[in-house]
Amino acid sequence: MWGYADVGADVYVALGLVVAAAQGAANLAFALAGLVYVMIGLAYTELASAYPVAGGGQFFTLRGLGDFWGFVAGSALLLDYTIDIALFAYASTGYVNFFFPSIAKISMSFGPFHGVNPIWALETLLVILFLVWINIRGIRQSSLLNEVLGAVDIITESTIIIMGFVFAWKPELLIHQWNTQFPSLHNFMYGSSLAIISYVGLESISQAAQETRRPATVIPRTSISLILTVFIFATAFSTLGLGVLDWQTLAQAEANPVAKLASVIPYIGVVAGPFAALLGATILLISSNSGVMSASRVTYSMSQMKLISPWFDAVNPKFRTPVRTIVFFSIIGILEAMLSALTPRVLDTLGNMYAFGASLGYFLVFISLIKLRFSDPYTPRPYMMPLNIKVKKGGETIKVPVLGFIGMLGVFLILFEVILTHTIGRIAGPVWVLGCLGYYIWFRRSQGLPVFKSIKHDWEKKTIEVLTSAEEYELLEIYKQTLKDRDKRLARPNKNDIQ
Amino acid sequence: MTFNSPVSKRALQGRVVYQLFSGILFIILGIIIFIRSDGLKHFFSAGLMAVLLAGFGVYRILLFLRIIKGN
Repeated sequence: MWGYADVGADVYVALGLVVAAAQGAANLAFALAGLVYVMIGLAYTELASAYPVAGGGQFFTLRGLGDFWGFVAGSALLLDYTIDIALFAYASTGYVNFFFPSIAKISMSFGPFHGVNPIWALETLLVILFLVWINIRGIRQSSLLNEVLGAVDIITESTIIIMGFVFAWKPELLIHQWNTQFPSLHNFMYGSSLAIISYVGLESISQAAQETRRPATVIPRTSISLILTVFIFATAFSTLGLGVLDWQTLAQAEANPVAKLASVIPYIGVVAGPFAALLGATILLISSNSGVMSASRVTYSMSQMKLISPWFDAVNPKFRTPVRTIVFFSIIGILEAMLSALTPRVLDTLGNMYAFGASLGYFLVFISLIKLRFSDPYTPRPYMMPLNIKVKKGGETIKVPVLGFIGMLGVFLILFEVILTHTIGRIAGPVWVLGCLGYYIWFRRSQGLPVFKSIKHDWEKKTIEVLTSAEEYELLEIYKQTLKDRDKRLARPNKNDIQ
Repeated sequence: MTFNSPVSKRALQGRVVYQLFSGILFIILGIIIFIRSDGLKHFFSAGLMAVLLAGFGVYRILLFLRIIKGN
């Protein structure tokens, strides 16, 4: 159940957005984005189990491509975490409003801004402030609560899918919508790139690798199951949705599409609709909270690697939590939420911005995965992406990841779609990354550190420390032996003997 | 030495039962969707999704077999 409460929530928000864009072909959009996502998931499984440290994609990129690109990946992912806070807080209150339909219908005009719902915006603001408060106080949801919510969510989603397909699904409606409501290429590209939202949680859970006991054993075992479950549920929900309701109805219920879908299923709808709404609100709240926590983890990692000021790294002496980071990035999340509130489709605006950071970050992670196979073949990889070609280089056997190259092309295609079709994201995303780069250049220069080159890191020492603290003693021995063999072959003294 | 406490045994049984039944359910679901939607004729709109669901069911049953073999 590792991380399902974080990852499984995303379809609750993505379903309405993707259906609104990809219309009668929404299930194909989910399936295509899902195939790329499976490859991203496998790449993260390999890297998170080999390098179980806080920082996730940012750390993998820094390790593979150096400080500069590590910073670029970090800034892209930070953008996404701030959007996570806003997007999932909005979506969570959207599901709460399933019980208060009059709130969802509020639409006001403020000067040039039309279709604004100030009550929904206020609810979201309160939710984010609540999350800031619990994170500053250091109140964490227990792993038992995560387990229970993850299990309840899987059971609920499975019940909706099974009962829906058996009692409500009309294949002729799905095929009719496919034949008559197929989207334009532009809309399909927009929809399939938005579908990446339903697969966002992986980065969040890779962040937690350092806090997982025996990550090299736990991560591969659980994350592959998790990846496939999320993929299947996203595809199944969209196929079910298009065979039960017309896409316009689902798109109109953008704030709570899963609850809307569940409520029209015969026999269980009366209970399943409200229950799905309640569960969606809870689980999306956890996802929003993941945004706050993951932003702290990434900034901690970036600060440790001297990419950003140690100011961000400071822990409050009273609460023992990184208060500055929590407040700073939550304020950005609030700003994004309030600015998006001025647009008629809030969730779409936030999703539009989200996809840029995700696809840029994942693209850099894939390049790093390939690079690390060549530059660091010594670190034990408890899990490797399947389909590898063995190549001999300098006496070492390198396994070239074929699936890594395919995944990189897939993510590049999504990034291309984002630049082509996301009118807000293609401006806001690069502006954010460039703004962060301006800060990076100022900070590194002020510290007398290289901007485009990397600081010298002793990765071998770091890997030994990480494996020791993670209690991965078997891997530690394998790693030390591999380094010894390498040093013997290259006839150089083994520094790790001095322990 | 006790290798399995009563709690871990219960958890294992629950996991095994879940893997098996969800696997069978997803395979049946995939077959029903494929047949009802004439999956071969409408492969990209419905057939592909049915194949994915059934494939997921097969994966779950393989996991079930792995758990059984491992114990």
